[in-house]
Amino acid sequence: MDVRSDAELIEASWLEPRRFEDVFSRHYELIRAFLARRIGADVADDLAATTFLIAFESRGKYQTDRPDARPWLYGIASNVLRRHYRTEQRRLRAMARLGPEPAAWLDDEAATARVDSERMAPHIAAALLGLSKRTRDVVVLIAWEGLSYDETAEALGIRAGTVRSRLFQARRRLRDSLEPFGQYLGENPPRAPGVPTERRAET
Amino acid sequence: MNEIETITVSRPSVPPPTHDQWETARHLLLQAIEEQERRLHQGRSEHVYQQPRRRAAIVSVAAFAVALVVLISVVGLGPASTPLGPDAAAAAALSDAAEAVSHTQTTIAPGPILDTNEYVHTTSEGVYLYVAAAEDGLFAALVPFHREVWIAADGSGRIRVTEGEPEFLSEQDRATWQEAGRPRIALSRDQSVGPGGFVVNDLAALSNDPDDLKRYLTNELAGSAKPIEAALFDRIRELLSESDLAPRLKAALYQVAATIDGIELLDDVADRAGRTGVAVGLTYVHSGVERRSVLLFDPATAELLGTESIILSESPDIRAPLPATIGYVTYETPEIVDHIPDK
Repeated sequence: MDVRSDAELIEASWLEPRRFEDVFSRHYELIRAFLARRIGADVADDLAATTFLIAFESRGKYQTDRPDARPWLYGIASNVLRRHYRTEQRRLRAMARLGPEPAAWLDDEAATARVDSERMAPHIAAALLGLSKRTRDVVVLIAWEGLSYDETAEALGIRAGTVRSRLFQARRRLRDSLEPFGQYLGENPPRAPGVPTERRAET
Repeated sequence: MNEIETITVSRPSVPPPTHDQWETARHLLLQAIEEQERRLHQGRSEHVYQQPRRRAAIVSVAAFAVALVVLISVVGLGPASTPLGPDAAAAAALSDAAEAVSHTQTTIAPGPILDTNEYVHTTSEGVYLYVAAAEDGLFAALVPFHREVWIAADGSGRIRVTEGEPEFLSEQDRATWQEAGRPRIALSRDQSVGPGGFVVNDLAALSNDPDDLKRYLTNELAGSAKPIEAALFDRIRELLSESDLAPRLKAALYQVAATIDGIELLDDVADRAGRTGVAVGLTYVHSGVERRSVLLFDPATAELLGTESIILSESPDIRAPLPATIGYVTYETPEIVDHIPDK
């Protein structure tokens, strides 16, 4: 088993490009699943391959003080996705109307929530559809991919405070979308003590 | 269960890739790896990475710099902001810029022209709008910044950003910030990056044909929260800030800008060095707020001098007299230097 960090592998690949194959082996399935959740399995294969090609070509700018390459790869995949925004919109619209594809929506690990989730899936899709692209990126990376605020910030190239701010906005919007279905108890958005959420206004 | 947890438990499951799917992706990667290995074995290590390019979105080098030239923030403000000419005037100005730049034979660029131990040094400065949510509401401030970038031929280099004291838009904004515990706003940094650190791939994908270029950018921006005209205009502003654009691509960008509905020719445009530029603006409504994006360039050389963003109507986040400048960047012609300063 290769116990070297992603950063070590990537750095080694600067002079030995083939070492990058190990990065692919570690994370291909993860990135492909992320893309499939966003845009559908039929398109995800191509985009996952594209993600790793871009990662390989741009590995020289990888910051090797970050041992885990997943945020970096998620960031590249998110950029790749931006060119397929319409496809994602169509997918979410279809889900909002029809519900999930068979066996494609629910996570087995969330079996206890399965019944509610099945009922909620079209509403979740509709709620995500109502978010801006940038806000949806944040929500999905945190809620579906399990990234921390810092990792999400690293992936999207924004400040952690901006992540919190977008999440804050997302929760307000999601609350409006989901509250009629009684799926959560409203509460204040998460916020570290003394640290305000932030965002840069669009200019 | 809160909103995010509701999303989490609804996470779609995805079957693992099949062997064929895995192998197809792996094969594509191996082809790229083998190509680089071939180059390495041929001793062309300088070509392992693509030609250095910069992209603000990745390394905050959106603006290349400045100092001698500072866009006066009155561009597009007050009575002077009234468009002087019809759309045709702005289109003509941009077309003239495209014509001017198309005759340019060379452009400053890290890759093709730099020798070993040479760097393209660019500087930019301006302000950006910082808005934050605190317990008692939002606070907003304009944060001044000064940014310098040094890029070597191999894409390595350094970026140094110094941010100054924020200027709150109102006393209420200041008070909210104080009540929030005076959180740090300015974020200076000084970062060195290794080979390829400034490499991006975007520019290589852009066509020199204006029609193809517009089609590509429009497709790329589809789904933008902004009106597509504004998204396209702002994307062109961002791309023009790349100092290493090939002349034909720069000309094509000006030509595409000339076709954007709603562009206006503005007057009263000058920089602090006393040079007058041509300013083209686009006014649009986004999130219920009327805004204007401005592009200032030298009509003789098509060199980008500056950009500015203005709020024209009331916004819930902006407590400042209207029209309010919420961001600008000014640019200076990049120069080639033989070292990166120690500090």
